[in-house]
Formats: sequence, structure tokens, C-alpha cells
Amino acid sequence: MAPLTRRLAALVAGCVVAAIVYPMVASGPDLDRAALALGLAGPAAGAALAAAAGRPPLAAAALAGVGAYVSGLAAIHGVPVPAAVVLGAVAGGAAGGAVAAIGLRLDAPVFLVMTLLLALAAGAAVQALPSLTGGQSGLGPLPSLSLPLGGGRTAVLTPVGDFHALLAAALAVTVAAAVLLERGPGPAWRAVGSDRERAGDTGIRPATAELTVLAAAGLIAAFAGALAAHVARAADPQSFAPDVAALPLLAALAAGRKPLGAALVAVATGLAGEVVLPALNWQGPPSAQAVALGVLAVATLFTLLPGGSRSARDVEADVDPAATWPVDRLGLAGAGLAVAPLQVRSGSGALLLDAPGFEAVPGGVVAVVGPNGAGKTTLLRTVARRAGVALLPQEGGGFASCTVAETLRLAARAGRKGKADPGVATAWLERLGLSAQRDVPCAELAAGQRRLLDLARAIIAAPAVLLCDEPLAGLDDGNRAAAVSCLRAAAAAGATIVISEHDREAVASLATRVVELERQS
Amino acid sequence: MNGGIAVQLAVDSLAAASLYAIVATAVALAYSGSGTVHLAIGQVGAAAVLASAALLSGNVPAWLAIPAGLLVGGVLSAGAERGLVAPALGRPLLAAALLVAAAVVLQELLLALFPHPAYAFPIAGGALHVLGGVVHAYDLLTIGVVAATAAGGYALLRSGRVGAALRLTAAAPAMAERIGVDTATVRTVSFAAGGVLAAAAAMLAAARFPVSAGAGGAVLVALRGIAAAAGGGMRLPLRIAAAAALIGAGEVVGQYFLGSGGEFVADAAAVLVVVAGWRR
Repeated sequence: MAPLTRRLAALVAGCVVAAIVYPMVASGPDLDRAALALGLAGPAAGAALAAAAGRPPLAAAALAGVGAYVSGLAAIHGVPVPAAVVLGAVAGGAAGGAVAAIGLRLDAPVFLVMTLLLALAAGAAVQALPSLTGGQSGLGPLPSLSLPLGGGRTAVLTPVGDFHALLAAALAVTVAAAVLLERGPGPAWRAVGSDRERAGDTGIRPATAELTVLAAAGLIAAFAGALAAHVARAADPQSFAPDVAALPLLAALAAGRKPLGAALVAVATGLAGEVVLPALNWQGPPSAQAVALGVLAVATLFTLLPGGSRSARDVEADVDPAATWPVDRLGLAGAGLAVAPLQVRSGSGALLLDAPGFEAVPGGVVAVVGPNGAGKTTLLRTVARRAGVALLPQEGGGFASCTVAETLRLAARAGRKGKADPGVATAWLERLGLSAQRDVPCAELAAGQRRLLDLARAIIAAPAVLLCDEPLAGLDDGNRAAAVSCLRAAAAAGATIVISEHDREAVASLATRVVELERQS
Repeated sequence: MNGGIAVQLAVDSLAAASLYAIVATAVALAYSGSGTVHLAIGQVGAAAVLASAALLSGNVPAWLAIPAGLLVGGVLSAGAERGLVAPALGRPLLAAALLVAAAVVLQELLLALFPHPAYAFPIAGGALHVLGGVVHAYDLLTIGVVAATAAGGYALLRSGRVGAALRLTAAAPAMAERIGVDTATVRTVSFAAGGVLAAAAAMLAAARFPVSAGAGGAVLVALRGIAAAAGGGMRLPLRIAAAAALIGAGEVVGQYFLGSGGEFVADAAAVLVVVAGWRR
């Protein structure tokens, strides 16, 4: 059984046990409070989804609040509760998409601030419209959770029914979020979260990924929020407050941006604050909820602090430089590239780069050589920008939070919609000697192996021109020989390749044309 | 609207903008040294003003209690840099997440230590009547403090070794290290200075918001200040000032015309300046 399936099966079993046992030992008010704690699963799972895609939000609770208010308003105006909940979830999805669209140009830390400001703005708007939303005291009383039975009859849920409904909803949204992140669009979302630029170079549309992941997060959070509002029979402007905003994100971060763990952490925190500490006669101050949130924040700090999390495994792999590379199945068809002579000057007019013009052709490898500071990287970046082609950078490699197999599969799909050869990823996995590590996150590979994997990713994506900034730097002898043979094979199969490189020996064995740069005084 | 109201709104807007500008300066200062957005700055300010309030309630004179509060702000902020930002250097998202978690821990600690909904804090009393409008002394004090801080900060950054070290650390930390700048100290000092400024902003905000440990006053001012800093690209003083002015005017004018809806206008303006002014 796959690890995800095992985890989900354990979760389902745990929920079944809780559904049977807890109503036997808990009173009605405790059941209601437990049901409200279960409502935290949606925002936390949503926050984990978004955080995995590099869009950590402080608005997941606010998105749940959107669901609560929209569902509540609809139900008050006569819409049956199930339909109202669906409306609330859809509104949350739309709000999530809007948050993503507003924040498209922001990097993650500023996106965090922007989402909290949006939540505060939404809270202020809710409080400024008392005739519609109940103002500071909130919207209520809302209709209870109920099911229309036909013939004008309605089944209203008891506290046990509320608990079961919220438990089922928490389970459903958690499973949905976990499956979404593991399969389907999940690898692309995680690739964008790992390295937005490389993801774009691998045929993924980062903006689309960010919009869809936040829409999904909003849908999930708002669905849970809408259900919880009907259990509490109120939609509360507190959903938009800054202290409430922190819980889903902290749960997501503490759980390593995994929806399943995030939901469990958030529900456990909610249960501690709503049920466990009050049962232990905690009087406060601080309140039981504040204590639970504080403990979660401390746990998150310990989880995140460098050295506090699981260390990388540094998996080594053995790659044979002499064997053939599976480039034939890639359909490599490079384009010709003509680069005009280029000069770059500083603001004060000093000459920083003086590069001769050159041409690169399919089947050839152009090597840009020169001492440190000669402007090799500047030249390649300029060529990449002007020609609109991807540059394989020196730093990093692969998608940190995607597995080795996922990284290669994403590359194999790049620009080949519906025509991707399913055997490509497997063939490259074997060739890179990483079959045994196919399910290992790239972040856990040894640095050299990760760079070789990244070179493979770039070649498999079959760009019109492959620009590589010092692809051999930092590799040991074995990986260096493998990278040289891989580049040579790609060129022979029709790729157009331009590299910058220090290693004259490697350049001599690889390049069909050499461009010399001098360091400018 | 008569002239008195217009003057009053203008001064109120300027005072609100000044508050956001001083926090924005603090955030930009911390960012320039570390590349990290100081997301715990609101709680640092809250801790500082509450510490001062506690000392004042224990009959410690204001001339001692207020500097002690400023010191608390500086020490807490420097501690956040040493303990959280420095270990995550070069990983701004991790640093941001650590600061969010630390902010929550600090806030819950403050709630435990200061459970009341409001604490007494002295504000500059008195008012002037201009063209029939009322101009409060605390607003003038806020504007004066920010003007003095801006002038002093500008002089410090544009001349002398401190400014040069900070600018070089922000632009090219590796090169700064090579020529002998202790970039770790520069980062810590920039965070400490940011903490002192945030503490000052929280104290000046005592006239507008109740002094409490809740996620109200100081945190709200901090968020809008961060927005102003981001709107100014974290480094352009005029753009930061303009962003703060837009947020401040949104708050005051919005409240005048819409009552509590003014908070919505201010937050919407803050989102607007962030989106308009910041790039990945």
C-alpha cells in the first residue's frame, strides 16, 4: 500500500472510532465544541496546500469566514442549508482565487502580510455593514445543519449529528487536500512552491498554479467554515481577526506543509483549547484557546528552526558516464540562435562586459569561457532574456519538495500536452541511477546528484536553446563525466546548447565553438 | 465641509501617516540589513509599550519608564534577529515563518502577563483651535517625532560609516564582509533600531488605540506600516512616505465619512500600496 493510502486509511479508521466512541462519553455542549474544533481542519488543510505552492496565507481563517457569512446569509434568506453551504464554499473558492490574483506579483513574505491585510479589510467591511451582517455581534441565529426531506419536511441534526457531520467534513476536506497535493496538480503546485522560475522553465504556468491552489484552499476552508457556522448558529467577525489568522498557518508550517498533518494539528489545538483545558478547569488568563495557540506556536518554532527538522538524507547515487543517454525519445529539435556582439556598462560608464557575437546551431555546443568576473553569467542572462529561453542556473537544482520521479515526469510533460511519453521519466531515472530513490524528495539528494538531475530536467523539457551556467561547477569527477556525456548526447540528438564553463579540459572535449571573454578593468 | 474640519482631517491624516511611516522606516531598516520582512514588529511594539505602562503603574517616572520601554523594543527585536533571522539567513520565507510563530508566542505571553483590555499610558494633552477645527497636541507630537526621526535617520544613513556599512550590507553582503564590515552586527543593530522605532510608534499610538496585549492597536499599526514599507520597495523614502500618507488619509477620511468603515478603507489602501509598490 502506498504511504499516502496507508496514512489516509489510518485517518479514516481513527475518524470511525472517534465517531462511535466520543458521543458515548461526551455531553451535548462538549460535542458542539468538538465539532467547532473539527471545523479548523478545512482552513489548516487549505493553508497547507497554499503554503506547499509557495503562497503561505494568513487568510485561511478569513476564507472560512467568507464561507460562513455567505452560507449564513443564503440560509437566512431561505436557501436550504446544504445548498447554502455549497454556495459558501464556492464563494470561498472565488475569494481564494481573488487573493491569489491580487498577490501574483508579491513574494511569499509580503504575500503573507497582504493576505492578513485582506482579512482585516474583510473583517472591517463585515462590521461596517451591520444591517446585512449583524455588525460586531455577528450574523445569527443561523439555521441549524439540516437536510430537506421533501414534502416540506426537514431533518434537523442533533449535537451528535452535528459532530458526525463536521467529522465527516473534516475527513473529506483533509483527504481531498492530501490527494490533490500528492496526485493530479499537486506536483506542479509543489514545483512552483520550490522554485517558481525553474517551474516556469519546465512548462508549468506558475500564475495558473497559484490561482488554482488558492482557489482550492479557499473552497476547502470555506466549506468547513460554512458547516461550522451552522453548528454554532452564528457567523462571527472574529474569523477575520489577526490572532485567529495565525492558527491554520502555524498548523500547516508545524506539519511540514502537509494537509493531513496540518488538519490533525489544527484540530488537536482546537480540541485542547475548546474541550481539554476547560475540562481540566483551566480558568486563565490567558484563555484556554490562547494557551493552545501559544503551545502550537512554540512547537512551530522548534519545527522550523534550522536543525530542528529532519536532516537531509544525502542519498548518493552511482551514475555510469559511459552508458548511452535516453535522448532519442525526447524529440529534441533545437533552434538556431544568433547573438550580436554585446557590451554592458555600469552606471558610471565603466565597461563590464565586452562579448563578441556568435551563433549556436542545433547539434552544436557553444562554450563561453573566461576568468571570474569576465561576465559569463551576465552574457548568458542577457541572451536568455533577449531570446526568451530558459537559463539553467548554477544554484540549487530540481524541485526541493517534489520527488525525483515527479521532477522528471513534470519535465517530460513540458510542451508536450497529451503527447508525453510515460516511459521517458522511467528511462532517465534508471540512467541517472536513481530508480531506488524515485520517491525521495530532491532536497534529500546529494548536491552533485541534485545538479545532475536538474541538468536532466532541463534537457528532457526540450527547450529551443539550452543555456547552462557552469553546469559542471561543484561536481565530483564521476558526475562531471556524466554531465559532459549527457550534454554531448543531447547535442548529438539535435539540441542547441550554450554553456559557460571554467573547465578548459571539459570544454575541449565538448564544445563545437568557444567564445572567449576577457575580464574588463 | 468647513475649513476647520479640513484642517483637522489634514492634521489627523498626517499624524496617522506619521505613525505608519515610523513603523515603515523600522521595517525598511531591518529589511535593508537582512532581506527579511520583520513580521513580529507589531508584537515588539506592543511589548515595549506594555512594559512602559507597567513601570508607570508602579510609580516609575516617565523619563525612566519610556526609555526602558524603548530598550525593551530594541532588545526584543535584536533577539529575534539573533535567534530566528540569522539562522535562516538567505531563506526569507523561513525567516518570515519563524517571525510569525515568534509573534504569536510573544502575543500569547503578553496576554498572560497583561490580561486587562486596556492599560493607562500618558499622552500629550491639550489642543489648538485652528479655523474652528481642533488639532490635538498628541498628533503634533507624533508628527514632530517622525520628522525628527526622519531627519536624523537621513543624516545617519547618508553620511558616516554606519550608513555606509548598512548600505553595503544591504547591497552586497559578501563584498561588505571582504572589506571588513561585520555584517552580522550590522543586521542585529538594524533590527534593534527597528525595534526601538516600533516601540516609539506603539507609544505614540496610545492616543489612538487602547494599550493592550490584544491583536489590536500596535499590531494594526505595524501591519499598515509594513504595507507602507513594501509599497515603497523597502528602500525609497519618498515612496514609503507617500504610501504611509495614502494609508493614513484613507483611515482618517474613511472614518469621517463612513464611521467604522474607515478601517476598511485604510486596510484596502494598505493592500493597494503593497500590490502597486512591491515586485517579486
